[in-house]
Amino acid sequence: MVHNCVTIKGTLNGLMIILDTNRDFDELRENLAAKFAAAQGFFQGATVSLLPTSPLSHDQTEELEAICREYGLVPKAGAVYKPFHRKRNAARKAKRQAAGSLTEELPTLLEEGNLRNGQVIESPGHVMFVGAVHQGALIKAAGNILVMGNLMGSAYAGINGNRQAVIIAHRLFPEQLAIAGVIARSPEHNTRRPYPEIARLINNKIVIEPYLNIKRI
Amino acid sequence: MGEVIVITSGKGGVGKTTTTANLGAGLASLGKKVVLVDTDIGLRNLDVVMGLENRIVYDLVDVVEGRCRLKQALIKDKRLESLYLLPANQTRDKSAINRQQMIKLTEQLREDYDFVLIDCPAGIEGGFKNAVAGAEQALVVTTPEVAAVRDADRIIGLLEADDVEALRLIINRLRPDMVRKGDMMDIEDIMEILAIDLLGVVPEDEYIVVSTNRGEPAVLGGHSKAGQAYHNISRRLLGEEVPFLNWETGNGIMARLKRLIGLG
Repeated sequence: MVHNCVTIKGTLNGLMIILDTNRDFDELRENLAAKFAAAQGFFQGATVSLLPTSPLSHDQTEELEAICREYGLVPKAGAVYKPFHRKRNAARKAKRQAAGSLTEELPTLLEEGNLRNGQVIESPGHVMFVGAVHQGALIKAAGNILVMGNLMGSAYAGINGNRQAVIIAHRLFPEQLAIAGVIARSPEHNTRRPYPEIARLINNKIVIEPYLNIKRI
Repeated sequence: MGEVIVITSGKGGVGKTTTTANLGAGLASLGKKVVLVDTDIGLRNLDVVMGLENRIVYDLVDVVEGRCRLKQALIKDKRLESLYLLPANQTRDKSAINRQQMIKLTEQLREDYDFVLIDCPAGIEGGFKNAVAGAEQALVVTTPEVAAVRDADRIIGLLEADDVEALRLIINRLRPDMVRKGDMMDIEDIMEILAIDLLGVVPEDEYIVVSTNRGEPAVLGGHSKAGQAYHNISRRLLGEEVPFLNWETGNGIMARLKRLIGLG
């Protein structure tokens, strides 16, 4: 749910705890303890990596790790989440960097549930949304926006002016899309296409294409 | 401890008050002790729909401001022994009460009643916030119209953020004939958009106008379709498994024939 600031995921390498740092630190701390308490020892002995959506201070990290230990979890020493990248040849990497690719620098916010009419997600990085974005809802991100579900509301990518930002949705039926301040709206007639699509900024226009092949951007 | 359920919709005119009155009467006729709370201060209507308007002496605001005891303000229904109404004040506005007062009031009521049904005002402002303050469950009422469904979606988002746990949907004023012709949103369209549990579907029924004017909930009198639907919803609120009425299938002679031979 949108108001959940602590999300616990099981992975091959133990538990991954995603912390929404847009929230107050006290709230995060209480929420974390409450989740562990509710699990009643279920997590005992599990290794755990803390994954803040933006970096926490050393003291704050220590404090959260202490809570983990208190409930019998084992924080991984210096566990930091690094996005996984396939090795690319130098030329391609250089090309990507020249094109101003964002993926290396920005954090990604992962949210689940339904973003309902009137609700807004705003992120200084990328947004990955698992669920439906309803009419009247809005996602704003400095980076890319990926919606695994129906995008029926609005999505503004590259809000700080990054023209390379993209919007991808499993089903793209938006009210409005914007990339780097260039806005497009859906055509008046119903144009629902039953496949994933990608929206990009090309020559100051938003262009939508099927997103079916693996080759990206 | 009784259940505290708020009946809300966002948009006005979709049938919150009618639903509150009918579910209250439905639950009471099934033997439960029920109190209805009208939180639409300044625009009260639940008393009229219940036909109790000329029995009001004290109201919700009198109770929270301590001008009377809670029991003095509760009006006993004229048909059902176990049904009570706490009416709204008509001279003040929504700011006459606050969230803490509502929480205290609902805590008090749930000690004595099996169900506390709160009729919420339209909108998302103070009146809505007060109405949902003490509720742990919500029934979201919508009609098969784009505007009502959009508002219901907004309301569901706000209820989720307010930690109301059980959210269920009632689709009101459905017209099966229009759905069949493709002129009205059908149940599946609405469920796809709102993505919460469906508690019941109430068909459009002229009898609702009659019963509202008479001040007699449809669930009690006659055999109207809407009354039957409200009766079923009341039973579902008590945890019974009641199959959904088959509004989608036709009632013409061909449709009935097809059903008879197992094709419909």
